[in-house]
Amino acid sequence: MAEIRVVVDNCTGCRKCVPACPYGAISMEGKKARISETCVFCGACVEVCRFDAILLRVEEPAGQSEAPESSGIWVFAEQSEGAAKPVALELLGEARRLARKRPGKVSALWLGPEAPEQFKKLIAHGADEVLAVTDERLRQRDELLYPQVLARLAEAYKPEIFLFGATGFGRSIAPRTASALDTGLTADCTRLDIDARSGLLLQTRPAFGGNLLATILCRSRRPQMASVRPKVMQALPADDTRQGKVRRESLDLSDMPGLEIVSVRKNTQDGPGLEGAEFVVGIGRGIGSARRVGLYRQLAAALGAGLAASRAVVDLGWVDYAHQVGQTGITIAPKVYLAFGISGSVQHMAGLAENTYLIAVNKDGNAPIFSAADERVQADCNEVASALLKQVGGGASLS
Amino acid sequence: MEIVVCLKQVPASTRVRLNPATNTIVREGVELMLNPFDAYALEEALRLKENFGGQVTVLSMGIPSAEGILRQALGLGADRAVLLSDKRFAGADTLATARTLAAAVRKLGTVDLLLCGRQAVDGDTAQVGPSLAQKLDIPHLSAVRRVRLLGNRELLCEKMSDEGCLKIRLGLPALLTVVKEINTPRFLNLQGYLQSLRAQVEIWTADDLQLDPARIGLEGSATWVVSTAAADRRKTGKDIPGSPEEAAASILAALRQKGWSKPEREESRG
Ligand SMILES: Cc1cc2nc3c(=O)[nH]c(=O)nc-3n(C[C@H](O)[C@H](O)[C@H](O)COP(=O)(O)OP(=O)(O)OC[C@H]3O[C@@H](n4cnc5c(N)ncnc54)[C@H](O)[C@@H]3O)c2cc1C
Ligand SMILES: Nc1ncnc2c1ncn2[C@@H]1O[C@H](COP(=O)(O)O)[C@@H](O)[C@H]1O
Repeated sequence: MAEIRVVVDNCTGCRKCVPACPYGAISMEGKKARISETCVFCGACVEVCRFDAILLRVEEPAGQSEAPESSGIWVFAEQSEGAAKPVALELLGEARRLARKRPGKVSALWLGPEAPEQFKKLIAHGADEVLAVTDERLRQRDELLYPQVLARLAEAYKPEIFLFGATGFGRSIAPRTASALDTGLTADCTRLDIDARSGLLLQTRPAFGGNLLATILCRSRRPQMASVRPKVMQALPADDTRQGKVRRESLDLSDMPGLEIVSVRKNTQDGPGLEGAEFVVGIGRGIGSARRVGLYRQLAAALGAGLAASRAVVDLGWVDYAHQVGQTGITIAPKVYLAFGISGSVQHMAGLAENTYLIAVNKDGNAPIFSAADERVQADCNEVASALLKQVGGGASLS
Repeated sequence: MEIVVCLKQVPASTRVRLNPATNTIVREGVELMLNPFDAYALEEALRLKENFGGQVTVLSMGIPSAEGILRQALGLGADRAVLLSDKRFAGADTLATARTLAAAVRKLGTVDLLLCGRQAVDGDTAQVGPSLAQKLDIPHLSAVRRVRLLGNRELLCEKMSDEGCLKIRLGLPALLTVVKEINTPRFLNLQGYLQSLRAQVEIWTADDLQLDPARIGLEGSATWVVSTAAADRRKTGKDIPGSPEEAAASILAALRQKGWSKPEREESRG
């Protein structure tokens, strides 16, 4: 059991713990801190309290703390129409990095049609082996069938770590698979690492609300499962000399129910072309009003850049959701990101690759985005954007 | 049709400010509200009930104040509300949450359809729905944007996928997580509001669910938050001073340096 308690006599009412709580569980009552039941016992408040006024006791349940035998890192190699998605290669790159600290085999899990070229590609990008189930029923990704197959394989081979790409499909099957295996899953990790002492997988993701990152462990259940958004990790360059095995699993799927998919419709290519853009113009609430969006659309068009937006802008209805970058939007990895009137919340930054060159325009010198920026322009973003549009030579029609 | 809708109470303010003096986060207000996505799940349940009959039960695991969102749901037309509230549920991860909700659904008896929001805006995991469906051993579809009833034991669902949209026939019982596009939730009217004040919310504890304390709450969770740290993407960038025109010129120079060149043909305004 876990227990958290405010030592009322020690609490000076300094309020330091209130904003430190990533779950908004602390409030002040009569000049004393009060911890509500939304607390998850993370200990962030204990660390900031200078008066030893918060006592936290977390006991690991006896007998459960010993993790079962397991080894190796698995990557779910999601395919679409028989081709591995880029996120699968990114995860293999990350798995190799983890395997340096936690030696073990890196396996790519392939569910889909027979695809020898794809298996070579997975091996060239870091897999030591490809575990392939090549049943025709797996050609179409199926939210009901896939988790059963993955859980069956994981039960048989007992991987220590199991990584998923947080695509729409991945976000549906990963929790179902984790639930079948009765193990933990951390969604949308932005960083993975191995704890040097315990050998456990350190799973880091943005915490609720603040500019905080939470690191999460799965101590006693296996596999340790995590999902990672596309473009967050880096794929290794293909190395065609790498050797690897392809192991075909002949599973009997006849006792596994699947979905009855009656039609598939593909999106026509009319999105903002944002995901692959090399240059991106991003807009935040700081542009002031919906009327200003036109200026940035023109700027993006003149630059041949994609148009991105913060969630605040999307929630206000100024642009639609397809433009949202961040934890709940898409992830982008352009060469340069021009951020106009964006404060730079962790949730927004979670959608931007770390090696992107960031130029931020914000009128507030203390805006968090400036600490992550390569170039800082403290100015009115609309003025800068208009001037830039003029200089690029696309502003003729701007009134 | 027996429908259960899972509702979660979340902090109303996701807006945070950085206090420039202390570099700490200032959270404005800790008011609680219904997870916005769950409103669509509730609305869909109410519409199905109005069209095809049946009963809508709303279910939430949370602190005692979560009774508020359940009451509101009763005012909107739900028939029964159950709050799972017990100190021993505290600190649950998505796995322990799914286990607890599953136990409650089993206790409710026959259920044909379970509806969840696509995700909760506080943690954004989108895990509880699929995880719960697995615990109940029923199929699920995520990101559903349209539901039609075929006969009385089957649904035709349209869902968003990574590449477009899928239509799927789904036998009941099943669980769906729904997206905003599915409907427009109704508002609470005065009559509903008055009704919500008198409505009864049943409170169930771990004992009512006969759950082993080692399988619920923090103790029953597989994942543990071990540390939190300020996000650190600190770069030693440079300041671009000067007028907007000068700043624009610097930005243009930086773009060129990164390989940008003026596109041949401008795309038209879109
Ligand atoms: C679970 C969760 C998930 C989330 N997911 C996402 C996500 O995917 N993507 C996302 O973007 N957000 C996300 N958010 C929201 C996020 O926390 C922020 O609220 C949001 O990113 C803020 O948007 P903003 O920077 O546009 O607005 P604000 O924070 O309001 O910032 C506006 C900025 O503009 C500046 N400004 C104002 N006027 C001017 C001017 N004239 N010239 C120049 N600068 C000006 C201000 O100084 C300020 O820095 C999420 C939040 C939660 C809780
Ligand atoms: N404590 C809870 N009580 C009831 N329903 C919940 C709870 N947590 C999550 N849910 C449901 O699961 C959905 C997804 O939540 P999450 O996995 O937390 O993003 C929500 O939209 C709710 O429908």
